[in-house]
Amino acid sequence: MLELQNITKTFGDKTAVDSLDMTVKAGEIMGLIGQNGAGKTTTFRMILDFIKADSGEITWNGAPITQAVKQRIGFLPEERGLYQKLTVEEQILYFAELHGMKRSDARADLANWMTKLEVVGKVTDKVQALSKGNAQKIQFIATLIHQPDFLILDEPFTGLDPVNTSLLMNEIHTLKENGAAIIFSSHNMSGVELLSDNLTMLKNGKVVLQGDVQGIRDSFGRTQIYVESDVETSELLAIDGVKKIEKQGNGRMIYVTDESVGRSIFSKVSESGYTQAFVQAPPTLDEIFRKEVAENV
Amino acid sequence: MFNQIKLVAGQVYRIKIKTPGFWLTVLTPLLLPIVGLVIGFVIAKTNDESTARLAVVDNTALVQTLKSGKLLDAKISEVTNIEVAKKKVMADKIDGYLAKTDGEYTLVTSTDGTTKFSEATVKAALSQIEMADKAAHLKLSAEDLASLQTPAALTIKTLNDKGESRGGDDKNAANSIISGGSTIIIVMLLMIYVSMIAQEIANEKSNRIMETLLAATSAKVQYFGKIIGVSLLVLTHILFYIILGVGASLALKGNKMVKTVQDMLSGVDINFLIFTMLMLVVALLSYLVLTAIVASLVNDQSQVQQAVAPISYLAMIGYIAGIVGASVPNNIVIKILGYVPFVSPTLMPGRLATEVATMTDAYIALALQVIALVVVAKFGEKVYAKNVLSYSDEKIFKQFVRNLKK
Repeated sequence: MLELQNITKTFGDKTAVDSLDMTVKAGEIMGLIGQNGAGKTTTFRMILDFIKADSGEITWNGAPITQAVKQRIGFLPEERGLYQKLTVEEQILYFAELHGMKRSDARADLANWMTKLEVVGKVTDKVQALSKGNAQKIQFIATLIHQPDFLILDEPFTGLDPVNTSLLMNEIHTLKENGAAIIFSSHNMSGVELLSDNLTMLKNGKVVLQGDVQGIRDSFGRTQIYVESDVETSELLAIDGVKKIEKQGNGRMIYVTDESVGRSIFSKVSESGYTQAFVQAPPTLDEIFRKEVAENV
Repeated sequence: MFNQIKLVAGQVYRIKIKTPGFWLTVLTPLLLPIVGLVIGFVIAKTNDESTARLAVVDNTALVQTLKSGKLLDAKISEVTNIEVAKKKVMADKIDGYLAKTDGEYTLVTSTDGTTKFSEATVKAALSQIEMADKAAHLKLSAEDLASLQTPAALTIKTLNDKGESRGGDDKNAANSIISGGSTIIIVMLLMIYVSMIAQEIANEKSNRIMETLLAATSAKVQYFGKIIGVSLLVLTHILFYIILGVGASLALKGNKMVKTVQDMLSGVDINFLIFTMLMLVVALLSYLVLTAIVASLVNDQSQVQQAVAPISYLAMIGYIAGIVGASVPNNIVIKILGYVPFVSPTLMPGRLATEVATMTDAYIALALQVIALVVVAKFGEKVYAKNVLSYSDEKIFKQFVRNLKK
């Protein structure tokens, strides 16, 4: 289990991370979200001991992160980097060995990973000959091949198409099922929602939201109702507790003061015994992100 | 940690040793003499290699002496007069003729024949004949003549710091050649490998591989691993030439040049050789450490040459001071420079070889260089860890100075 207790890091006058508390248990995925410069990469760098925290404590299973622990970490940096002139095999084997894996085991596993991630190319190909997407998959293999106990992924899906994103998500899920603790950052809110058990939202280095994803969404209440119905907007606006109505695609989004207003709206749109769509869901992560981070800068 | 250092060093070594660039660097010094030999061979093959043909004008006694004494590497014949000799030269029947008029010799050659007669050899042969004539005239015996020609005996001895007399000219000459050679080798190896380690670090930094590497290891592992890896390449480079040298001396046993080299090496003082080897190792390690520090400050490959240039200049200081100071070896500045770390490796072996410095002086310089290596390596460990993941727009020298202050 990874624990960050009261972590603070400043660079000159700027506080990059401010009193951050966070826990990631084994078999759990933590999504770290926030705007650019919110402190996500700085947090990862402190966990990996690239930089020291000014105060606070970072532990793995109750003890400081030692070199032996680091070998069991898989890290995918935001800025991808591979040896362009080495072959896929040469560099994967090197990275695997640095993580304490036997060269022969890594060689055997590499073929399997190449198939699983549908990499177009051979292990004897130089990285410079691969497409950007395939090179990214190779970097991903380098991060996962040693079956890490703890995985740190900094913007793992940037630049990937939906099919490849889904391939990588499956592998992350498999690692989670195998008991790895996983922390990742992303700007793709739907991805975070799909993948994370818990999330931490940072704003200017401070935690603004933290907890399990559904709990956070529910805490914002179900005060937005999407309907597709023939009922006139004026009739809907006349219902007590309806604040405003906006056109959204084929339907309308109705903003209400209280969750219970949903019942009155449902009664109205289903008067005829049929309505095409009625969804009273909590706000999406994307909406919460915009509300909490972007709109309150 | 040691296992990881071994892995990093092994990776640096394995990758580089497989590149054609490395072997081209190693083999370049061999290629130059080979090209020279090939050109020489081609020239020799296309040139007239026949023995020089020399005619002596109307002097049977001189012809006999030259022939019997085999004093000249030439086919000797006799002509009756100069006119005949000239005709024969023009008709390319002979390469030249030798005439003696009023006690003076004249050698006339054809245009092609000029290179076939060495002035010194002909002069020596004629002097010998003249001397024998004069000795006979003065009624001197062969022993008297030999005695007159014997040079004065001179043995050069040197008093060392222990007050003992030893060695002489041969030893000094051999040491000087070794010191000159080793200085050039040190400077050459430094240039090659300083640039190599800098490229290696800059590549990982500019390609953003460093984060992935440091996630599994530590800056310390990377820093020492790379220095050891490149040091192993230097060792391979040196070993290649040692094996080649031993192999060539065995294969070409009896060859004149090989014998000359062997004779020269046999005159080398073993203590001097040990010191030079130790200095070479310490100097290379020190410069690699210094370069690793500077390379950690660069942002991309384009800055590498600019960053390592001052290190190359530093390596050259001792070499140039050695040449400039050869005529004034006891100059106080040259004396002090002989002890200054990073300058002493290319200066002190030369001073020791010419016995301007004693073995004690040399080992003091070596000890100072070792201390400098340890201090710089410790300092470098921190600078490397701090800078290898930071990308600053500041000038490299400014960053270096800033790191010195902290």
